[in-house]
Amino acid sequence: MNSSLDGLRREVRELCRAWREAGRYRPRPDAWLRSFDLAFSKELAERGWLGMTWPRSVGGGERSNLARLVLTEELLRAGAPVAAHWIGDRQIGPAVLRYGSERLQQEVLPGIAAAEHVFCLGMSEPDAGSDLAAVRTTATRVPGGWRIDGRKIWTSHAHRATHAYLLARSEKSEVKHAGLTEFVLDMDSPGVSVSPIVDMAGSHHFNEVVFENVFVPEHRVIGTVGDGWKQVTEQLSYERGGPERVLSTYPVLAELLEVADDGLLEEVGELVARLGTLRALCVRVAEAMDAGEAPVQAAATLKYLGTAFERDVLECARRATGSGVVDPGSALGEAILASPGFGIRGGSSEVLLSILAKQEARR
Amino acid sequence: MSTENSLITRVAADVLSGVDPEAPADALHPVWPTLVELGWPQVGVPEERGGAGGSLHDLVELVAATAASGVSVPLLEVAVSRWVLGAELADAPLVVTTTGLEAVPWARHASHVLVRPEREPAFLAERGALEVVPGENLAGEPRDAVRVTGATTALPDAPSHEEVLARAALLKAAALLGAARGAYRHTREHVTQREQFGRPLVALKPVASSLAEMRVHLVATEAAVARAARGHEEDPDRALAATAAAKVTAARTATSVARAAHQLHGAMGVTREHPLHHVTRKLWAWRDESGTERSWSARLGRAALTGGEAALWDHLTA
Ligand SMILES: Cc1cc2nc3c(=O)[nH]c(=O)nc-3n(C[C@H](O)[C@H](O)[C@H](O)COP(=O)(O)OP(=O)(O)OC[C@H]3O[C@@H](n4cnc5c(N)ncnc54)[C@H](O)[C@@H]3O)c2cc1C
Repeated sequence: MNSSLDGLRREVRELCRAWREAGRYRPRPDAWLRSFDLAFSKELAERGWLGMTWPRSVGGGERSNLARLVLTEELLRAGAPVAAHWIGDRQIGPAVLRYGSERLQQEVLPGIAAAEHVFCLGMSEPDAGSDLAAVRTTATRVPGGWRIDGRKIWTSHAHRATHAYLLARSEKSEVKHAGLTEFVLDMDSPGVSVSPIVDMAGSHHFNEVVFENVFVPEHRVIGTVGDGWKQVTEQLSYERGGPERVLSTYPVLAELLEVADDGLLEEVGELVARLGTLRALCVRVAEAMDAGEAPVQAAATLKYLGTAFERDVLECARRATGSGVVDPGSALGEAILASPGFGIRGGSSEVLLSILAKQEARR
Repeated sequence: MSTENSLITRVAADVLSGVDPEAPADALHPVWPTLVELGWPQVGVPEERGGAGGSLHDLVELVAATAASGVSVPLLEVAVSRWVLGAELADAPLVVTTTGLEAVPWARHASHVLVRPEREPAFLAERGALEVVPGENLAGEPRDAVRVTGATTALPDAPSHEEVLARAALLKAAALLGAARGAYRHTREHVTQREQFGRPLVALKPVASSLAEMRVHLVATEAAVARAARGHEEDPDRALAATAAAKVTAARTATSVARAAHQLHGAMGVTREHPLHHVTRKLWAWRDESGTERSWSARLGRAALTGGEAALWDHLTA
């Protein structure tokens, strides 16, 4: 690592330590989905750590994706409350930067970089999960823009978001991958309603969102009308290729090192080996992004292996508990109850494998 | 051999069908009095000892069926107490048995706690003689820390710590088997109804394979639990090792069945509203109760290394 990155690393550690010691957050597993604190995101924004790879003209810091990896992995390591900006900073910003018009970029990106815009992700629908191209939410042309009607589900933090990314069908077509278009819309637009979905641990992070006759101005289309499928598959590489697909259970691994006995040496050693390799994959993905690529395959690989690792950390940690009773409020307990989502959100493992399999078959 | 389709399982399923697993906080599930009235906790205890008759296999099936339904009740804990006490304290509202004081099942609701520690003699404590600090397991079931603050009654005739642990572990393996059956049933139903890519999920090969894998684990666990139950009834010398094998098998099944069930349910399965978590959280919680998976494996490993191959083979083929 070069020294400017080392400096960044130290600063991030220092900030997290200060917040933790002041009792301003409790380190948690899966914090990037579950710990929402706009004040923390604003603090990062003030330091120029949101949108840090974007051009200065849109509020960015023109740093590398390697620098962003240093930032994100240190935040995840600390179990810091990063959910408020995660989706906007990770994927909607980059997607708008890649395909959005100048005007849309100016409207959206500085707000994400300042932690003023909070984005949610409107992809999945009741009948379009793994089969994302089956989305039925419609976008109909009206004077000056589009009218949106439909229903999204599992929308994380829709109840706190100011903006939504939305994938909708703008054209009926024989081929389901054609006729899709991406939009940015305001969550306070008339006709948007959000209702909570509570998860098995009793927490509320995702929602169902209904759109009834919602107007979206023309310039809120991302990229090209009808090209949504190609664009969204590239966006998914931002969604899948980050260290949060490896480190959701890192706070549990950190605790494990305190309590593991010698009988677990090999198991812990194997986890360390896998973590080292996964980190190397994260670096590759970041380097590919620095080279201007959307590394679809590497990102799918990272997520496929990373989420299996996250889960296996919990298996080892559970073996280290002597009594056998895991408190649902402990880091391990919270992580076990969150773990079924790891291999599902952002694309199920089986679906990722089938994407990779198709590539193999094509060779 | 215990199977999903035995008569007793079907009778039990009738009793439990339509029962909502969700229970009011801080109270026993409303179905519990019915199970007590039907005499389920006394099944497997001979009538001459004040039990309800029936075999240990029958009790195993009742425990499994209860777990499969997703309800949380102290059936297993009370059944062990009845086995220890026979007709004694037959009218006490809720007597639970524990082998340690750190995480006592259902202590806050109990009228009496029967303690069979590893090193000290067994004793019985009334609720009034206990300080109870509430705790829970991953399934949200009471697992309270308990401190004895008052007078207790010695139980000089109680079975040994190991015998009590083995009985509890056998029934826990049965409960795991039941919860795994429940998870399998939910999953089967889900993947035959949910459509993606224009057809039911089960038409996708990886989905059908995962379902088959779940089934394989169920079949193996049924065999392991039946073998252990037979050990308890026919050959107490073999009971402990066969129980260890059943508990380890059931714990492994719990991990892989819970994983596959959630994977095949997609996001729907992680919601509070969907009933799947009533069985999967039990799978995660119970796999390490009544002796952790690791401690039971270590016990078998130690026995095999100490006894050598010939002893191992004799044990397997006994
Ligand atoms: C915690 C969490 C947060 C989420 N947040 C968001 C969000 O903010 N925004 C959003 O849009 N979505 C979100 N999602 C939804 C997520 O993207 C979907 O759950 C995911 O795409 C799978 O869709 P599904 O749940 O409908 O499962 P289904 O598509 O019904 O699939 C169920 C299972 O079937 C199997 N399967 C399906 N298709 C195949 C195949 N082709 N080959 C082999 N096996 C297959 C897999 O095992 C899969 O897990 C979230 C999900 C979770 C769990």
